[in-house]
Amino acid sequence: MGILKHLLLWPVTGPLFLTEFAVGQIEGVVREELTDDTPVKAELLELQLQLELGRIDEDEYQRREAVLMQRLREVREWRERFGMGTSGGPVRGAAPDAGAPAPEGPTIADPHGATIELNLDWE
Amino acid sequence: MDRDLTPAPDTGTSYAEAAPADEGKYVYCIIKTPEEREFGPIGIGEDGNVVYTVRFQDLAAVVSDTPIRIYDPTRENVLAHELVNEIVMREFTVIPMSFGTIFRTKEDIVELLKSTYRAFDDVLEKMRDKIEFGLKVLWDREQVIALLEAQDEEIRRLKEEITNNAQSSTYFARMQLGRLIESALEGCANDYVVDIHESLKPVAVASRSNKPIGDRMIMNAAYLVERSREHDFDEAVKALSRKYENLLSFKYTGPWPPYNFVNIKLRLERADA
Repeated sequence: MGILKHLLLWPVTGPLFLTEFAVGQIEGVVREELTDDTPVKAELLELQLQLELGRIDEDEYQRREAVLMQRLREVREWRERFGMGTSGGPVRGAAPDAGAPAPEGPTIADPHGATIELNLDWE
Repeated sequence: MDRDLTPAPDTGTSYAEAAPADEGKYVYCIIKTPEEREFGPIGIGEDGNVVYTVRFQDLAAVVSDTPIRIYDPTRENVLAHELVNEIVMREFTVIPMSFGTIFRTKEDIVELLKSTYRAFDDVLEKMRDKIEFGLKVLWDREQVIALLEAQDEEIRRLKEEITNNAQSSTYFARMQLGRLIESALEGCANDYVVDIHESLKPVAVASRSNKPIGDRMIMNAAYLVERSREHDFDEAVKALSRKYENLLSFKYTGPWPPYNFVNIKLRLERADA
């Protein structure tokens, strides 16, 4: 719907437009939270460190890891529901998407296969 | 693909139950070998499947049979993945695959090796006889603060002032001390990291800094080292840990395959597609 029409019919269409806009915004935020696995992965790394440092025992580790794995699975399910990529699982040896963004850093790529990035810098 | 409706007992994913057993190949790494190899029944998963090679010319993927499923990155699974790479790298230069990479068929793997032959060959050559070490550095905050108080004139003065005038010491002075210590700590951490980094540079080929984990870690790095210099690198790390005894603790791991220096990007496909 054009802006002019919105202005003219604001008393009628305005509230609906705002509601739709707000719902869209919230959906975006919620979707981002549901599909982001970085916090879970960070927690997993921290948990592993606790175990390695001897702060927690194997039993506690197992128990807490199981919870995190469940959360990872949930994130994965949401990602699939929203049609986003998931890591792990089956792959095929086909060419990467032509439209895929160019990877950063030095690359050795073959148009018919996978892309391999080499990172031999000092960071 | 037809779905078998009997629930699978172990996994929380829907894929395992849909796939007949041993349908896919789990790939651990890529190596160069003129002949078929077997590495024993050490494959990922509950069954201890045999790890073997799928070859194209002199390149090979090191694989084991697996149901098509998503492996959760549990410690157990990740260690299984790493164990295979560790055993293979005793004899070969390896390009590690990301955890959880599964191909549907042997033919798919051969296709990957074939179509990416030159890139793999090139990277294997560049990575030849190079190994990775992990170095995590944690500090004892209290010890460092004690050191700062001993060394930093202003911190000491402020602290004395606060203790001497316990009654009248202002909120402001305490705030100031807190801030002073925070910024001194930050400076300290930075100095340590720079010093460690510079000490290891002469004995390594490359390095990569990862995000520190938790609040005690000030450094989480990976170093790529020539096999022939492994001993030198070792010595350099030991010297550092002696130098910073009581202040820093070093968590030193490896040798690893170059997980942090090579990244094979594959196109992902949904399992039920």
